[in-house]
Amino acid sequence: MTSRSRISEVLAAFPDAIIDADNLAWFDGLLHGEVRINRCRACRTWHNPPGSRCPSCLSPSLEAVAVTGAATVDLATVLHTGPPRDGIDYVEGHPVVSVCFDEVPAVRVTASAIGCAPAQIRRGLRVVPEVVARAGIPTLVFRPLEESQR
Amino acid sequence: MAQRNPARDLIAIVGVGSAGYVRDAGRSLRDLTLTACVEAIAEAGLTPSDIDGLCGSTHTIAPQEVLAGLGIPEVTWHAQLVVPFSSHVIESMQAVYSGVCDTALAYHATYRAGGTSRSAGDDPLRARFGVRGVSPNPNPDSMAGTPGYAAWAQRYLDDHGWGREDLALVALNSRANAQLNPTAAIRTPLSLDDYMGGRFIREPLCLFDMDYPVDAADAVIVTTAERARDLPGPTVLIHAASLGIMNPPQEDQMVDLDHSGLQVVMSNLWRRSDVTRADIDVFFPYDGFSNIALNWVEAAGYCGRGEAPAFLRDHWDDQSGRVLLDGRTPLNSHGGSLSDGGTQGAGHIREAVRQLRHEAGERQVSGASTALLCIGGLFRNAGGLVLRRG
Repeated sequence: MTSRSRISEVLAAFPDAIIDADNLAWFDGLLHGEVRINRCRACRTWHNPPGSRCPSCLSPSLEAVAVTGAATVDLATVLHTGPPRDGIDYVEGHPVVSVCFDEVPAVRVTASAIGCAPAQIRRGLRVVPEVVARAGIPTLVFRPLEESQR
Repeated sequence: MAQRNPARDLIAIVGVGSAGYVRDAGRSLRDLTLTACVEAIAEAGLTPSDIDGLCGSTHTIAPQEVLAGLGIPEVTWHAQLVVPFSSHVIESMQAVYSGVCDTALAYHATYRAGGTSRSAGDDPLRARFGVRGVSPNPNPDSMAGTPGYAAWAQRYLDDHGWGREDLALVALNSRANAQLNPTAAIRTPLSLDDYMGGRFIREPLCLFDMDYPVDAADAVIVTTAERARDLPGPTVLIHAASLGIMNPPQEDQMVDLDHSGLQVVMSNLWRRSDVTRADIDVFFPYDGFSNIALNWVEAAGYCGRGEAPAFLRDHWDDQSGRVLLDGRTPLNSHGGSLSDGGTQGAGHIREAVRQLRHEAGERQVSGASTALLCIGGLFRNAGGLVLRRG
């Protein structure tokens, strides 16, 4: 159970996000610089987006597990329109990717990508997660693996 | 076990109405809606007091406002549902079949809301309207909604080695059909060069891959086939219907393009139907985004997965610049969402009824008696209908 003060901290950090008891751990994770994916304690199945029950065995006993390591881009688009935000340039193009982490291949995680030209963001690109401050808000992004090692 | 379909051919569409599709009607959303309703009721040979069921879309005014606006004394059934409009026709069918009402009026309208585009925002009345009825996803880093369609379009192109010129086939077909439809919202000729020069909106989708925003409204009257026989016009029967969602339904979690709502709809629709693809005279693969039409052509079994662009080229009619399957069956004969105007399937349904009533003018398919409507998209709102001339 998350404390009332911790909930208030998470809500204050993400003023525009729709946050409820099911995805609180996701946003709390971003505040800690982590990507947390829900896993069922009973049958060990991963699922995303975060829900209230395991869609495989219907157990309500879930844990949000921090995942690390590399991921592979599976879906990608570059947006030239969208909700205006400081730090997003829709003229240049705002990439959105859905990736599969090596340790959680069964679900995809969606975020923007940085560190390479939009045209280079294709299926199969190897990336690593990073939480950056975009207009002061902790934001998950993916960065190409080679670029992150430079 | 054979698929149950007890309502087969027992429920009919007896009238359609449209407020016309334009960029700027200079009229309210209410007036657009009521205009289409009045036309549909009149075309069916009915009066407002004959309507005892109302099914509207959440884009426009609520059933009680239509009731008040048209002077309908009372209704015994009403519902307000999200798009696409196939859902409204199918819900109306179910309400009439069950006997909760006898004659339902289904309606949908779109209005270029000021909060959704810069050009619309310049209009003071549209600006005041804001974004009512439309709720864009506030998360810029999400696949939910329209970005998901773009990502799966890119995936489709990558998987099969196709490019933008292959998506273009859908846009060029729709525009060529719109040139035969005097009420289509955009009828200027579109060339492949024009298409390739179209600015990207959500890559790989450009301006010409995305439905054309319009002020528009459509309405449809649904009643029993028995009652329809006493009405003046040709009757259109609902032969089979299905909705479809496949798990997982989220844009970024869908397994692949073989596991979408489209496959659910098509397998169920063919199982419930006495007709086969060979019987289809007019085919409506929804083109809200161009890639969805390619996905529908494949899901309906006209060709294998990844083969739609080649299939469309094989059936391309060079003279008219559009697809004519076996030289006869058009795809989205009214111009589709891309050129007739973006109304979430309502235009496709109106045109299917017009074709089956043999009222489609210059673009009429001779002797058309069976229509296949494949409406909606991959994730949460696919729907299909087989309609037959009574």
